[in-house]
Amino acid sequence: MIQLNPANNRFTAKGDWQESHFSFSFGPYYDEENIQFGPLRVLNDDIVQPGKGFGIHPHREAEIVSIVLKGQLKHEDNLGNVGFLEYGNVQRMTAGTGVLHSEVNPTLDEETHFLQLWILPNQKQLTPSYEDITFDPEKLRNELLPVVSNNPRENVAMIHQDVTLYLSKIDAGKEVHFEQGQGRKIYVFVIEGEVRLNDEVTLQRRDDARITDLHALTLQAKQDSFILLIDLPGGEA
Amino acid sequence: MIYVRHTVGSRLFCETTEYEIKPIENNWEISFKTDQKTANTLLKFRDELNIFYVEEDNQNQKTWFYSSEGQVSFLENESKCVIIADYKTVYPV
Repeated sequence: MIQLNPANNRFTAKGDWQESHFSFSFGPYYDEENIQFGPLRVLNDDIVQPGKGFGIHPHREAEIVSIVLKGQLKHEDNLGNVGFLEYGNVQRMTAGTGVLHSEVNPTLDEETHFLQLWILPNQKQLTPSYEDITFDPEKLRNELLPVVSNNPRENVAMIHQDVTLYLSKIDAGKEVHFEQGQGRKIYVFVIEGEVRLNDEVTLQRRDDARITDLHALTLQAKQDSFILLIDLPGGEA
Repeated sequence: MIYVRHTVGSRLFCETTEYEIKPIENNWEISFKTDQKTANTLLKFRDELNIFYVEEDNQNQKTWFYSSEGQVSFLENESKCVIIADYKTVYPV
């Protein structure tokens, strides 16, 4: 089953320096029917104005993945990590027993656009840790490139859950294919473009699809597209 | 002042100036008066609560507590919520 969630169903929170669109319940937006999809608990689509950002704040019991789409994101935490992220980088932070961090747009003149995902870990009270990786944008072209996985490899960030996050840029008219194991779930988020799934459902920019009970998925780009695909375990939600 | 917030996006569940924080061995017992409705919410989200303590005369730092085992109870006859926290850290804001 492919469940389409249009971008305009997302909750929008706007402030003086920030605009966020929540695909799942987060902060002031709480919908019992939209808490999580498997262990995927948060997908926020954030825009931060130059010189602004989220000051020091805590997290716990989440695997937090940040993907910068435009501009820069500066991360600092109480573990001593400092990271400057831009397009081509992916950050994974294990909040575990507790971490304090800030994330700001360090530039003076360019907005930062980034996606932040929270994935529930496969065990509680993990030791906090941080990692950022660099991927080759050329390798996204008409391929599903893993960038975060619990099966660590070079240029793939390690996550404490049985999930893999893939990015892909699909040229108009081209297809990519994904085969899924029985009982598992697939989440697709269209960052840019327009993509048709199994010639059944069309996703526009920032739409998502929550997919269950499907072995083979074909993603056909109706225009040049940039997508995030997540392979998730089955079970809850 | 203490604030009790959700771990996912920091939704505020309650805030109060009337509370007590007592160290008990390696834990902290945090108690405050509240109503049944708020208590029900705190019990529902017992595993996803962050408690922040801010001193009136020092707004430049926060103390963050949580209960890793979701130890939250409501004493109906006293209209009092009790949270046993096993984690505490202080940080500048």
